[in-house]
Amino acid sequence: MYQYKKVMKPTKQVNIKDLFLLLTILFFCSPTFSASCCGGGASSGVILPKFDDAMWDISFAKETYNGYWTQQGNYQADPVGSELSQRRMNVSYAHRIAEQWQVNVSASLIDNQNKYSGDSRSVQGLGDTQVGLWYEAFERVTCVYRINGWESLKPSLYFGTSLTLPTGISAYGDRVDNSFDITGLGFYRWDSNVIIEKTVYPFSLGWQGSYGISIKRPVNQEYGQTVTPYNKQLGERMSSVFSGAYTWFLPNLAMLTATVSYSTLKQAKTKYDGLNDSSSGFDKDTSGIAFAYNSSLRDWILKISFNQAVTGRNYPKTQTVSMGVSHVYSL
Amino acid sequence: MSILYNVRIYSLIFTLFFITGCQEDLFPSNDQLPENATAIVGTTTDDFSFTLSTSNTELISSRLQTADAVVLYFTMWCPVCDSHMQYIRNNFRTEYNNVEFIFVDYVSGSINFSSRSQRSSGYSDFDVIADIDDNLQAIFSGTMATTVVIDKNFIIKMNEAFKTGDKLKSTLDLL
Repeated sequence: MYQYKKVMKPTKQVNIKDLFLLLTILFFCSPTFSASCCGGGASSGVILPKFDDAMWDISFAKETYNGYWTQQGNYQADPVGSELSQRRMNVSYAHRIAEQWQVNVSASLIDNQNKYSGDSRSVQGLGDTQVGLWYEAFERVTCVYRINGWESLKPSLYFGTSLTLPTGISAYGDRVDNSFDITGLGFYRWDSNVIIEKTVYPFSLGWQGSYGISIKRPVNQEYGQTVTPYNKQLGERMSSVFSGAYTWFLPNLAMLTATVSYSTLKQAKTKYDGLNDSSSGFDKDTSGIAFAYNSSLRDWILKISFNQAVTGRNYPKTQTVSMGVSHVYSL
Repeated sequence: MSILYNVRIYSLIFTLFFITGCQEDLFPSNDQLPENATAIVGTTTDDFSFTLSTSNTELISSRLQTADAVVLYFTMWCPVCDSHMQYIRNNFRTEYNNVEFIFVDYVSGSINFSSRSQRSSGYSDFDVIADIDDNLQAIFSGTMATTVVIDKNFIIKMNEAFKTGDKLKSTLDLL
């Protein structure tokens, strides 16, 4: 399921920050692109435009690690001579199951390329998988060109839920012997999500919030070593993304949308057998900019985004560049 | 939407589950596993040498001559490691003043780099082992946050990932 390649010295490669590297796979998706319901882009991976039936999305991202913030929020550089990065390929599919309901599934391949002055290691593997369900709490497209009374101010409102499946390779399986081989968190996670967005062309505003609970799980081995069984539960996770966008209508009737976003992510402390781990928990703020090109038929979307972590606590400082393409169609 | 199309989609999803069904994390267990061949808790370790970030080389026996135990914590200078190391500094070093707490840097490629990471991370008040030849990493299957306790009789009392600190405390209390 995954390949492992030890690179010879003097470079010793380490798939560091395993607990953190993977947090970004499913939860730092592209920033909210404007007007999802109108076909202006995709939010949180894949959201179907209002009158389309299916959509697939493939994206490539590279996340570079540049130090971290300590538990007190102080910035700390990575060890001298280290280069830490993760590349990801995400494949998603969304499918309309009813007029106001859609489901989606998202899987990823992980490529950890991290190098320290003393170690190098290259690990590839399947990441965690996410399945989701969205309800569109509106019957008509809410994007308008001008405001004509209160009715035209009605936003698009989505309620969703998603389940993360621990399909990646975690610290608790029997196929790892150290933290470098990890490509997944090892926990089921249940998230509740809300998206609210409004477009009055050419401007859009959006907010996405989510609250997630990881499912407590038993652990009987760590990195291939037998341990006395215990129960572990990651802390509750809350995230919030504010975004604003501007759309240009191109001569060929295609659309180009620029989106700026600011997101916050917080996770409460991990519990071991019900006891809080005081050294765990983290938070992180990220700013981002994204561009989405939507074809004149609104069936192809090209996306590129850049996200920069700006502050945090107990978390790596990262930069992420992502490019992707979505295809929307009716059945 | 045709029925055939829906069947294909659901088949795809089912296949995805099937492919990933071999992942043990999908069905975690709390069964006590039999000790594997590499389990070393309860065994006696041979005397071994290590090189500190100060370039001094020592034997573990020299430390155990004066200390009740030695605690080795494997660090890769990451946020999780930093939190644990601060916890050890704030909650263990004073209380267990006859126990040696040593951090093992297993990612730096030279003593110089290890020393620089130690200083920039603010741990000049601790001894740091520059495990350049991966010797300790091999002996203890060390990885991020691996915590090892070796008592005065060279018996390995603990060898697992640092969690809340409770296991380390209970191990040291039983010395």
